[in-house]
Amino acid sequence: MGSVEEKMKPVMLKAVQLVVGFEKGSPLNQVPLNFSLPQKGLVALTGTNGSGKTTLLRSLLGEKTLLSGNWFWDGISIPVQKWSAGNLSKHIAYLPQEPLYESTQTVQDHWRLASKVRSFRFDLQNLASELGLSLNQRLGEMSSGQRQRAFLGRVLLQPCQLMILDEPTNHLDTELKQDIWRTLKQLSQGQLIWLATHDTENVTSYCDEMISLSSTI
Amino acid sequence: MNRQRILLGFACLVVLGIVPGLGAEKLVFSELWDPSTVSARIFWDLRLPRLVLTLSLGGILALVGGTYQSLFRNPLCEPYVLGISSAVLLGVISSELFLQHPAGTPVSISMGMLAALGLVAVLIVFSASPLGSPERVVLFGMSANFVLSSLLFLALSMQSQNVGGGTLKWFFGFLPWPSWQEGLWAVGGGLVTLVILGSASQALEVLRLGDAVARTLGVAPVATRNLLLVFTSLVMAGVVAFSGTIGFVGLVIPQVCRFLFRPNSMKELMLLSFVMGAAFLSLADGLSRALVPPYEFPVGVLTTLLGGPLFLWVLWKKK
Repeated sequence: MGSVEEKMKPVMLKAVQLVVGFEKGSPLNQVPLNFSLPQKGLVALTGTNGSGKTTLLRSLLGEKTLLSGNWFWDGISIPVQKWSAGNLSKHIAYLPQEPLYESTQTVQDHWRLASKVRSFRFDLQNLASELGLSLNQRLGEMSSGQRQRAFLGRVLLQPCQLMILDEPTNHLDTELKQDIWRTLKQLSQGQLIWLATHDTENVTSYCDEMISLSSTI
Repeated sequence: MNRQRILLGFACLVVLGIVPGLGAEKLVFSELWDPSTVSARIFWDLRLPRLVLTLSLGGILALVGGTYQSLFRNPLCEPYVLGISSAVLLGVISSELFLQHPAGTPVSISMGMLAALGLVAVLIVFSASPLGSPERVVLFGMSANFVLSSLLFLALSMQSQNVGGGTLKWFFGFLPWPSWQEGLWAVGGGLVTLVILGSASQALEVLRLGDAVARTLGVAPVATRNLLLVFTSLVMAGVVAFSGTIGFVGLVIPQVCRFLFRPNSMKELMLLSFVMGAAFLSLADGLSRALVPPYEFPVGVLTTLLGGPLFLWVLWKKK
């Protein structure tokens, strides 16, 4: 666990003595994790394969990957990992590493699922053209790069205070990666974005903070 | 896209027009409005309630099949995959063997429903921990199905010694000649199922994205799955108590609808499946009476004979 510089920024999310892993499996981190995340900004989560990045992120989302410790959200007494789906959806948007999807669904139908939460942040048509997609394309008939952009779009549309992205620039070519990083940087002026990534070059140029996990901790 | 839908509508009209005319007894059209004639009595008191029943059952089977395929993220799921039918039949046959209440009586149907609920409770308890993933539910359900069907065979072999014959019908599906009252019950059940599963359709679409994403979109995955399981099991218990296991409708119809109509939403798929399932089962029933009159095939044999090639055709076209 790399040290996180404790700046005088207001804290939104606090990890207290976290040990993550799978039930009946051995814990992924030997030393409990303690860190806090600010209310705004772009924070990277780095670490080698198998260091537990995804497991750590998912422990926030009601998956049973937290062996001990607690996640605390500023001003809410129930630990985040015990929140109801209704409460989670008001605060957190999430893009998994390998998103599941219905292949016959169009981009528009896929994005509509985010409207279950609240009204969209962007105009669908504008977002689609910004991401280089058309709303009527079917997910099953796209390249993996296009599909990744469609998945990202769904998360960008959902109003939230914390956006959790697991390898958001997967399958994207260099130019598109830059676009996505710039968009995220811009959004992070108003909210917190926490993303797991291997893209170290861009982490140094775009991220405000970095939390790194290593399997040797 | 629209041409297929118009064709489906047309096919439904044809089914509605033709099926009541199929059967051992030839109906005389001009006599239908004279209640004293044989034709009128067969048409109004036997074939129409039967048509109403098959429309509802077919709709329900296709709807539940489509729901399970989405809920368990598995295209091979069909309404009987979790062993519900074996549980219900075990309940029904036990009530006949031990309580002397034959199939179709309220006691027998209640026993069937109780057995289905018992199975669902076991499924929920065993598959909920530690992960509660849809795959686990299906795996547990399938193994439960194996155990229950062996018990069922055991019970059936006892029954056929005591009561004699007729047991195969449970496995291949059969349709009773219902009263109007029973027919309307089935319609009510079909419509309630359509409304309830239809209103769960967006939650189903969200669940399709995985449990963690579903939570961030406001859908509690385990609770939603369990609720849907309990509801569909009760519905299926009713269907099985009425008609045994009618194979292939629930597996094939949603798949064919996906392929033919490429619906944009789960709601659309459900509606299309309901209509097509209704028409398909009614047609199969009509044919089961018309092929070798006065003999009536178990309707499940016809659905499989018609559905099998239909499924193969879809697979062939899809590749």
